[in-house]
Amino acid sequence: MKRLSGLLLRRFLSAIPVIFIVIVASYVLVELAPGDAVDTYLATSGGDSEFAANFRHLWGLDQGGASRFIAYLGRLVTLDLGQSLIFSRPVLDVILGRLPTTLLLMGTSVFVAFGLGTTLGLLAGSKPYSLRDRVFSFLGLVLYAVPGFWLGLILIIIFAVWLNVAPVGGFETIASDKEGLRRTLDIAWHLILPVLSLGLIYLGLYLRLMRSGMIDVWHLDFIRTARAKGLSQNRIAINHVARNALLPVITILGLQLGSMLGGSVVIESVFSIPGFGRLAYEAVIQRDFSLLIGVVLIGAVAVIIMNIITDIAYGWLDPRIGAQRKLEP
Amino acid sequence: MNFRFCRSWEGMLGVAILLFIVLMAMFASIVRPGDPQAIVAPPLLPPFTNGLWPLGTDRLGRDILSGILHGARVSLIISIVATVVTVSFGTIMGTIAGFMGKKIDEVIMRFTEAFQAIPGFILVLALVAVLGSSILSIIIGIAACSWAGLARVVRAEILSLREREFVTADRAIGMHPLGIAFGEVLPNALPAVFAMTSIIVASAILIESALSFLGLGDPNYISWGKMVAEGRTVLRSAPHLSIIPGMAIVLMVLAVNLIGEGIIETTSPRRKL
Repeated sequence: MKRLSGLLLRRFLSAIPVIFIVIVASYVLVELAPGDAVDTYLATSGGDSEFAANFRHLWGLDQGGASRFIAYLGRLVTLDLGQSLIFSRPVLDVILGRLPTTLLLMGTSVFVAFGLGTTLGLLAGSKPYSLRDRVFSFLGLVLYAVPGFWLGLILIIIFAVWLNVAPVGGFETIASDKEGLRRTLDIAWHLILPVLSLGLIYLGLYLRLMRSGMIDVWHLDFIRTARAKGLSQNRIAINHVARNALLPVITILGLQLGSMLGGSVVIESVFSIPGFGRLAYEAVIQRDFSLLIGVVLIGAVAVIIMNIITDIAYGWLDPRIGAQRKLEP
Repeated sequence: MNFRFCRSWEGMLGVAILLFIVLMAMFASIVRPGDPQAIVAPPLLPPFTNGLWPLGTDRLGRDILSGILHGARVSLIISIVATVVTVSFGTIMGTIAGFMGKKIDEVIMRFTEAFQAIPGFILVLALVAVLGSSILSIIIGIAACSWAGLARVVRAEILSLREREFVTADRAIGMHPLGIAFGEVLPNALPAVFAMTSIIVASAILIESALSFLGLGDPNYISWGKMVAEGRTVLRSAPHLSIIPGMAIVLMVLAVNLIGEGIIETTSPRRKL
């Protein structure tokens, strides 16, 4: 446990400069975007030019670049991400309201992609270059090549238009007054197609990673030892090869979470799910720049937190992590 | 390596498909002259029924075949240029980080982590929103969200190479550190760069198509993603309008992935059973 808490502390400390760079990057976006924070604030509240000038002075926007950046930092420290133009509400409130939906969508999609992907990859990689391996590998390559929005539309055509067994979009039935278990089931029914779209695309990646990881492990010496012990091919594949191939896949899982959060933009737009990704799209289309920059910032922070969680999981699965530090001088 | 690559069926299939797409792009203006976004025929002609418009027409009466052919150009140009920009920038950053020692390495690595933390597609969206929808800003967006991964791979390769004897020899004859880094060490790290290039090309095509699908592509050019989006409005009555251009995207990305697979299979020494 002490090993893991040390790991956690070090990960948090190393996240600080990263978050600072993200903030600088977001500030560059703020400067590149037309208008400033006062313009967006006035657009929702109204006010004359004197009022605007007072506000600019109050927020330090009438000064040079360096002090404007410090004023920007100051507002971020108090968790003030500005006012959203299209929602007339603080950006942070709007984003936090949308995040749970997307986390639910992503969580279940990761489950589908990682669970099914590594299982199929295990089946492929346990008999490299067999017919089964070739079929699964090709399937993985094809899925990896499919654009998310297109897969979503194809699933809508098949399951919502032709077979009529799934809803075309939305997060739940609107104004249905469903509560408790019935509401949960309603949401699950609505999320089947979006989760399949997001999950199947990333499934290909995990399938291929697991398979190639296993192929690389098959050559190592301890596999020869396992064979010499008289273990069956299946036991070697599962207990020795797959377990060692799984660790790098978990690393990639952590790295891919950010990409998946980006992928949710397209999937949520296709299925009209009111989540974080669709919010990013709405911000771009309606040119709400303070909301857009808030989305970038919160997205990055969410990814950093998810990466730390993955690292902890990794350290927990692999006893070598963290312990090796003691050996270094 | 070249000879062995020819023996991998994945690589050869990928090259064949990609060659076909390049030919489509090259002869687009000869086979289908004129603006692909012009209205030329009655709307919503079904595919494979009319010899003049073999793939049919869309909601407004625009030729689908012409859109597919001209769309190949946009996808090819954007993915090639974006990949060149990404690979050059990522390789330079990775080489500097790996070879120039602790402080510079530390700074560049924090930058790559920050760029990997910002969800890739959201970064592209933000850049395109701020810079305006043009081919140039799409390329900048793609490069911004994919350079970091490549830089890290290059750095790892350089780190494993920098302690080799030939580097000591280069130092002994008084070569400039930058000369050693880019002239001597980097060429040995290039196989790792090539292995990642196919992934960058594929994601560039996918990002561009997703942007055009969302209506944020360059409005002056037809693109496959835009065609899928326009077909979406008549998804129930004419699903082929979305299916056909989507299949073009899948084929192109698949071709790139197959080539990447062929390269990996024929260059990695372990992959011989």
